[in-house]
Amino acid sequence: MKENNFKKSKITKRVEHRKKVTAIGLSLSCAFISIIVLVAFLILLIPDKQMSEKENRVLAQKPVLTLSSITSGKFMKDFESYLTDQFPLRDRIISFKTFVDRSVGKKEENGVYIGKNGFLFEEQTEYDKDNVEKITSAVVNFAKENKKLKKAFLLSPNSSYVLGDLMPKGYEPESQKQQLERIKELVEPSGISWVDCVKVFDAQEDKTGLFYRTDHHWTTKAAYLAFKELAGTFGISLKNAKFKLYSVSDSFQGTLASSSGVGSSTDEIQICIAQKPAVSYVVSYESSNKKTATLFDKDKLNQKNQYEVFLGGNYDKVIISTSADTDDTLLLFKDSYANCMIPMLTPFFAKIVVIDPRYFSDSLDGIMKEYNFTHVLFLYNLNTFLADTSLVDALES
Amino acid sequence: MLFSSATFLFVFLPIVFLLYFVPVFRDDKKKEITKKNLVLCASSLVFYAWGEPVYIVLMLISIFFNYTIGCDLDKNFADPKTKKRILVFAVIFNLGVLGFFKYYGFVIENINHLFGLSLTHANLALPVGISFYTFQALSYVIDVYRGDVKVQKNLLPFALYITMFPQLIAGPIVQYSDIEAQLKQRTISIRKFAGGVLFFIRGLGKKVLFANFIGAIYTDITSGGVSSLPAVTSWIGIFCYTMQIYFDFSGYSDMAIGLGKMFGFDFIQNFDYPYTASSITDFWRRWHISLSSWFRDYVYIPLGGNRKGTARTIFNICVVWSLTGLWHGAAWNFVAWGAFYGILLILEKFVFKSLLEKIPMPVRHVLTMLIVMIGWVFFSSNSLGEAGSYLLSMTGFGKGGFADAQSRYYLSTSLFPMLVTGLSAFGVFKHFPKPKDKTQRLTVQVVGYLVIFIFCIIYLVSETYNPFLYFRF
Repeated sequence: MKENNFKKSKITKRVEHRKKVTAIGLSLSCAFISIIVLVAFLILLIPDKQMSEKENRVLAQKPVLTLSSITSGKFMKDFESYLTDQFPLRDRIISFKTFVDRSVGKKEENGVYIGKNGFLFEEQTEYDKDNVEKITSAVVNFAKENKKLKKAFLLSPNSSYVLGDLMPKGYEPESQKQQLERIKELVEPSGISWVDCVKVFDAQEDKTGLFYRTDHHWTTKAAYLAFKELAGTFGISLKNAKFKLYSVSDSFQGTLASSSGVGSSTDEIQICIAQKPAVSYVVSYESSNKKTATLFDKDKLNQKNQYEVFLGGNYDKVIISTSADTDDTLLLFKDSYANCMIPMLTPFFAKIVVIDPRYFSDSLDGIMKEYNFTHVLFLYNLNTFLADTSLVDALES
Repeated sequence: MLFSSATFLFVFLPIVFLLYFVPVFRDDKKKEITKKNLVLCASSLVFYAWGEPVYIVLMLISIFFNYTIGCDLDKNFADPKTKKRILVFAVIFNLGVLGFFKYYGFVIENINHLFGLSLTHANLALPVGISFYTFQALSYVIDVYRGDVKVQKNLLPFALYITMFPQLIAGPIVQYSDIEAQLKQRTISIRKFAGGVLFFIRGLGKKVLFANFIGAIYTDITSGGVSSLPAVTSWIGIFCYTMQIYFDFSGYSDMAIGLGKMFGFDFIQNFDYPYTASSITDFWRRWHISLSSWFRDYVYIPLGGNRKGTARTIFNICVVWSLTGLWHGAAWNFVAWGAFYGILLILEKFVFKSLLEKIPMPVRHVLTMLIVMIGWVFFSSNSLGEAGSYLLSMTGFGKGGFADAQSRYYLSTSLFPMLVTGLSAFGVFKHFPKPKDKTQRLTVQVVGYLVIFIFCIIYLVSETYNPFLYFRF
């Protein structure tokens, strides 16, 4: 009798256990199916978005079903992009993912290094000797042909050099200081004055104000320091000059924040205006037949890339005519680092012709003949300078 | 379609579940299973066509061809001569199609190289899964020839066997004899479904969380060329690749097994903690089990296996391993990889057998792992030359020397993922203390797996993060 009871209880125990396991299995199955069905419904029900602010691009829309789009497989690819682009809470999911990545020790996201104090760093461009020699010899040739001009070369190091202490530990790219030194040795003998930004930035006690945390540009403050050094080179006296900085935004999230998807910090943008000597000017964008009386485009502060507030972005050729009391005229070859410095140059030149070789397809010869330049300035940041050979084409055009 | 895609998870799978599980013929079991097979077969065709809208024709041809061959073999079963002729024809046809799509370009290039010719060839895209389904079809045809399985006179179950989407693209290679009965009748239950969900999520996690994460490190390390890598960095790189390929492949197998279970099928296990192997022989008992079994059953044993003397055994091993290498891809580094294992297995069997037994177990594990990692160098490289320079880098005598600042960066940023994947692959987590009570243990497992599933979705979506940086400059 006793034994029987014992057996029975063992059997009921086993039955109960089986029931429990089945219940757990049922809840798991239900949870799994609910998750996929819920997501499917959310994708279906939430209205499709056109644009992604965070990614700064048009999002994929429902693809059109045609026979050819199916046989080529295009429909299937587009459909997958449609689903992932319109995925519910996409932006938040991506931010969460970069957060998890960082928690497990990942220090790089989409080619952007995540440093300390909210600083993001772009990957350094590799120093390609042949490329550099090609560019510098074009610059040297230009210098030889235009011996009379006052020439200066301002090549800014990037934040990975200036703020190297804040980079992820162990990531030690080749020193930009040495790279700049090598470039200096190539161009200086041809009579071009070298504006030494490394010296200027190294002398700063607090370097964190020299670069944006979320963008690859230098700040207006850094540009101002470099400008002072440049003025010395060009023999411009700043004794009576007076500049003032105004803050125009504190919500800037630049290209590095966009590339990496890390959006935890924002930056302030300042603009620099010359109060003394005060000049008025006309800025003409020839390719788009546009003329304005300002060097700033404040509409750009409402868009994603607020750095375009300076000069409205990059254009092939911009001509700035000023009321400055001088006959000096400046030819400026530049990348976007120059955009925030140009307002500081205006009081000292009657005309500034700004050429961005990356977009320039005109003939330089014509421009040289049209304007009687007294000064020429090459202003680049090292990463762009090393990566881009369009300067060669512009100089030889 | 890939299992780790939004289309599969959130559109394809819900629809297939709906069609498959909502019963139509409640009282007629036979009709209901036919309906289920039809749903599964049709959705498998859609699944395949989604990725290969053109090559699906090739798969359909393979299905009809091998189905007909099966019937023909059955009809002529009593006539050994005709039977043999049919088999030879079928094998030549199947391997011919596979060979044409997989090795045509490779063969032409080698002929060009040998004879200094410059024959041109079309760059054919390899039809996805062709290596897998061709082998499945061959297993059926050969088994029918041998009389090991009955002929399948019904086209639908046969088509389902070839196309079944869970294992269509990356295995496991299911042998017909293993699944014959299940095509007619199988248990579909909540417990089995839930077990399948666990398998599927584990596989998805292995692929999306482990393999993709650790694989990115390998890609990053090798992106700047392998000849200038310092030793430390190259070892980190190959360790990451070792982890990536295991979690990628076994993850895919787990997802396949899991999906199979949800629909009531039981596939054989394809991986059994291969990195805990204590010898190379042991490793190949644990790695891609379905492929090694296939070569054992249809190549090694028919050639005489190890029953015809040492010389013949060595020859047989050489044949099997050259073929195994080639099966993985049409390039010499895959052949080298196969030969590498063939030679090691021969050595293990005939030369070092007694020596190996004297080595203490921990040392054997480490040695096996080192050999496997060196093997992956051949496998991961784009050419034999690249494999050579990678190996040179690993010795520290390469251009990169022993270590540099970059090595420290990789070491510090990759340590955690390397540790987690490593411990997991070496089976350490298996031995972690678990709640004693079975239901409690299951509950913890289920909650953990659901969290993993959500993380997988998060990573899947984030992978498509694609900022447009026209304002880059």
